[in-house]
Amino acid sequence: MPVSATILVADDDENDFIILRRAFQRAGLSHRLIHVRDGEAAMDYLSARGAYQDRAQYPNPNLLLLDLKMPRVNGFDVLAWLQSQKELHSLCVVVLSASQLEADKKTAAELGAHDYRTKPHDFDDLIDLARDLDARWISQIPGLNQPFCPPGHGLGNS
Amino acid sequence: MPAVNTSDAILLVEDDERDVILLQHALKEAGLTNQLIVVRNGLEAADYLDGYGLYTDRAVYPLPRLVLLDLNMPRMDGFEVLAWLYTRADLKDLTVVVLSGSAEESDMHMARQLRANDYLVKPREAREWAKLTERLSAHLSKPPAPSRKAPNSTNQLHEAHDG
Repeated sequence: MPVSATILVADDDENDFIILRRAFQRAGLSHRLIHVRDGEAAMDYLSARGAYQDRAQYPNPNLLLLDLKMPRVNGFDVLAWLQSQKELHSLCVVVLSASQLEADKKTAAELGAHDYRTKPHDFDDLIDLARDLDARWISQIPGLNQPFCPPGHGLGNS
Repeated sequence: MPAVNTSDAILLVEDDERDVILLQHALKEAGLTNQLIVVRNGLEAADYLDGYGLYTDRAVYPLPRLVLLDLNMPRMDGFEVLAWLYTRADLKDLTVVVLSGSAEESDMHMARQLRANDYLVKPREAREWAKLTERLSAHLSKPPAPSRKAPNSTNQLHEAHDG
């Protein structure tokens, strides 16, 4: 039986979120995708602060999909902040950005992102991406109650 | 010719699946329950509206109340569909709304010349979709558009010869 995970999506473009959520559905994946609009809201969510205190409604995510270019607090800021948060060290963080710049990939890796994926324009490619993210980062989670990022994967180890 | 039954369906002519998803989402958010039928290019749209090929069964493929027409599409683009519709007196009650990524004045002008009832630019911001569905809702609640009267094709021919 496929597991249902919680995926936190930090992206200032709501259109991108709506399309991404549909791509997961079309991939046959029943994960719950929760949307936050900027890095500040992502940090609030991950620390269960402000509007996100109710963990029943806003459970700890199993995966963070992080856009880079966002207002107020951007993706790099979130990655830097995550490094200082011990209790979030096992959270899987995948950057999902429109940027194909090597410099951005390098910075994201240095700041501890586990993976870096470029936003595909074609919807079918996005469905494939959803499947791939599921296979790589979610299906391997032994218990969904705790965030857990499988060791030996991702940018930090390459 | 007997009157054809018109449903409340919206025929969306759109080749980009992302825009299809965004429109579906916006219609749902706006509480618009009209059936949304999607075809992928102008040729499919013409076949559909003609009840031709795959689309002969009007019980399954009803004539829509409104056509939402992208402009930039493969095989037969939106302008070609408008030009084709212009010649079709039997489809003159159809409301045709262009939904395009282009905000070019020349495209809007051309669409108006070809008797599109409205021209909407695809929203970049999610919240702008709400405004767009309001406009669609207004079109759907109006009686069939009188402005899209196709000229009598015989007269048009005469005019062409006279001129």
